[in-house]
Amino acid sequence: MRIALLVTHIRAEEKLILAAFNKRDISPDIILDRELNFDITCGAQQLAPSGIAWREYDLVFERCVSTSRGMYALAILNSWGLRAFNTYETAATCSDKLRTSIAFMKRGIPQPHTRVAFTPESAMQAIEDVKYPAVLKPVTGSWGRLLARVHNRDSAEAILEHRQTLGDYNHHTYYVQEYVDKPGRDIRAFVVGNRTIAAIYRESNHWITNTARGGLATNCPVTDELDDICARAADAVGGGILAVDLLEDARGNFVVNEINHTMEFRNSSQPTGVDIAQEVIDFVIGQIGVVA
Amino acid sequence: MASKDERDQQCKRQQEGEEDPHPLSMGLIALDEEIEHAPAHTAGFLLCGSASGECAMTNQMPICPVCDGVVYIPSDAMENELVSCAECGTELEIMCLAPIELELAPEVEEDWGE
Repeated sequence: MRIALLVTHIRAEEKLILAAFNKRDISPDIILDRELNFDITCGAQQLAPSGIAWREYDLVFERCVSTSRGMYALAILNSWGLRAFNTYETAATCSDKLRTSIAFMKRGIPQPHTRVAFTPESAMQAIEDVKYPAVLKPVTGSWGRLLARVHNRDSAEAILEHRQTLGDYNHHTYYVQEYVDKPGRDIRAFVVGNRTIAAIYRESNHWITNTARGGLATNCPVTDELDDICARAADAVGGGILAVDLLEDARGNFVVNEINHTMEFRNSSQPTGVDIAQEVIDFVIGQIGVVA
Repeated sequence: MASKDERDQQCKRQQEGEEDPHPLSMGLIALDEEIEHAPAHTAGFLLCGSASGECAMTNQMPICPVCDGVVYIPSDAMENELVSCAECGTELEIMCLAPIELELAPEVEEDWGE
């Protein structure tokens, strides 16, 4: 079994993944995204940076921290018929909050009230439509970067002017959500295939609860209700190996905030008692031989 | 910045003794558990192990290219792994394991994340 692990660099997660592969007597070839140089028309017979033809790989596991590199590599590899996790379709949907919202809408997945506008003027109207406080997010981005909770018209005008003046065109797509008054925490659930294998609460005094921003991880029991909504949300974006972020609204109902297709989990195995890396790798290995 | 092939060849030449180590290539990897239990007088000159696991005492340690502080490298370190300088917090990338060669890690880009 020949597997390629596509990375930007080696982080804690990739070391855990490699250790999990090694437990199954598999040593993946590590391929750095900085060394990719695809001939689009040449197909999978061309050599990967490892010196092995791409077609020799039973599976490519994409773990790039660079979203664009990972996503476009998947687009090429999938177009050649190579099996990869996650698929390009899943990555493209998850890497774009607007496309994710559309996918949720089509499947009836509960999500925060969301509006989209393309000029500062219409964005101001969108913010006032969802009412203050509102949340402004870039449609692409991660780790809580450039999120803004907007409390009034003055701050909305300032943020919109900054986005319009300083941001590139990506920041001129104004993705506006209602602020969900969550109970000092959100939920990060890990879905592998169609199963929620573990979940954590991310607690923080700050309204942004990402563990990358200092949120504290504790175990969140995977109830049937949580498993159901997570599995449905993951399926809505194409399925695979995914981290589903949920909020609890004032009535205790779940709303799905976003889904991450290159999940980080270094802080989550210890509080949940679940070997997330091993669950992921056993799933990946199990998919080899399944119809692509 | 040198390509990976160039770095690999340079590493190989250095391992074979054909080339002086890079100023940042201090050769040996500190073992976590030995750091923890090292006698006080060796605190700055830690028991180290090579990538193959062999141990030796050395005063040659990986040095942070920003602050010149000693960078502790985990015993299971890998090429292209990110490590942080404990003294200045700079994120570094291990470009070569034997001997250790460190470079500044790439700056976080706008599309980085999960």
